Amino acid sequence: MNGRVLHFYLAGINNQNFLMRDKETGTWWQQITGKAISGPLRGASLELVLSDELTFGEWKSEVSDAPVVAEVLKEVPKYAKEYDSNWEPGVSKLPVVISFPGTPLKSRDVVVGLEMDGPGRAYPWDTLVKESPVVERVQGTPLLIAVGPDGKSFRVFVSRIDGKDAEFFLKGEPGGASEVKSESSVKSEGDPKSQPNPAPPPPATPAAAPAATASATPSATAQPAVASPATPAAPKPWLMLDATTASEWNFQGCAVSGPSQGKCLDRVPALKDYWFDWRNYHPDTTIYKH
Amino acid sequence: MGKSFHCPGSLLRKPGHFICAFSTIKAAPGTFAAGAYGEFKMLQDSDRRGSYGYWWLVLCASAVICIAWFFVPAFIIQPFRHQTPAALAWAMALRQRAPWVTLATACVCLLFIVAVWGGISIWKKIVLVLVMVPVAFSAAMARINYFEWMFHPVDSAQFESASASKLDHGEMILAVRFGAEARAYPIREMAYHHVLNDVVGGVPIAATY
Repeated sequence: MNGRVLHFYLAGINNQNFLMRDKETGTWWQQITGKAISGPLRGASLELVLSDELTFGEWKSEVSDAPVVAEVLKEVPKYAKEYDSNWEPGVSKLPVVISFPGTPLKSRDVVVGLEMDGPGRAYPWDTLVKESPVVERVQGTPLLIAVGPDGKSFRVFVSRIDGKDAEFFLKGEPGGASEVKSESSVKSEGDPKSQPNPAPPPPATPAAAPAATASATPSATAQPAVASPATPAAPKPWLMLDATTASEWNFQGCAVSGPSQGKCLDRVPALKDYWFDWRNYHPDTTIYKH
Repeated sequence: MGKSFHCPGSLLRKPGHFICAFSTIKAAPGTFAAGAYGEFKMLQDSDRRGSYGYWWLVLCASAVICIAWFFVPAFIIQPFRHQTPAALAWAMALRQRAPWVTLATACVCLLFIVAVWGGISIWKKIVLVLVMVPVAFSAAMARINYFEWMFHPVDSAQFESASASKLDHGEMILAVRFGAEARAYPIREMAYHHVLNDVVGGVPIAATY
């Protein structure tokens, strides 16, 4: 802040969103907004940095090909017993102290929230999973909201290529490790978003192996033909196509083939939050509906 | 009022008489000596009761202020309690000043107790001890961040390479990237610690969840 490095610690809670203080000035900061709400720096705002909330597998696959030093926070041994990979189901059952009846979402519904120089915009997670990728204009800016191949990761981009608005679709039939939705409305290549979707594929989990296909391989000798062991089909990479240049784009928002190859879409900061918390700090927020 | 006199040396004062360094002077029944070191006046019992009453009032006020200064913000800032903006503002303002306010009022209470201890009944001593317990508790707790009893901070974050990490591929993480450095913070750890100060690619950040 103003060139001074601040170090933060947990200091309290405000309607179930935590408060933190900095050691240098004792100022109180609200976690979700990054704003100083009391103390010597009251009124100041921390700069929100671009971050991702995604699976370790997805992140690792991205950084392994990138020229970066990629590190993971190690668990602190003395607190390891307190960590809980399944904490969210427990938290989702806790009571809320603030609610907004009359809104179409329940308090603990998960949304992806973002701000674009105006009131916030909330995308219900369940809707996003079903309809990804979602392209719409928010405050005049075309946005692309995509749920990743694992069905848990998400990213938001400015949906423009060379300054022109672009429409995006998920490429090809879903299958194998790319298919994670139980009810999919994945659009096949070239289908406009507004057309009815093809029949949804069978459910699968992120860890599901691709469907095995049995094949009989003729032997080069006179021995009787024996069906070879089922060879799993290679999982199809998760890719999007844009309707403008027909280039293929990966989950990082970069074109990997086609006329736009090498270009990347601008990222937009967004976060996953419970509806009641997002709504509490974004009272004028709107909600995405198909 | 009674006559004044000078008393050189140290003084031990009890109701009814006082002692100078070199002699003992008995006050007449129903009177006592009061005053600053060296100069004393003989006063009546009624004057003593008025003076004591004032100091008991100061004790009570100091104790109430000390206890309230800790407990009011602690009551307001609770995990499953709704906070209004006004109540939260009060709580933060009190908590900001709590360390020195509680210390000052606790010291006032302690000084009073030391001053009157020798001349009061056993029942009053018990009352004073009972008052001093929450006062001392409040003064101590005003300096302690008890939220970190529940969610310990990471004192010194340690990292390992992505290739060496044994995290499950489906485990959710928060990830940032600055320049040639990428960092991942497992959400199951961040959900416990809540905040982690780090420097990534030369940029100081606070990862929060």
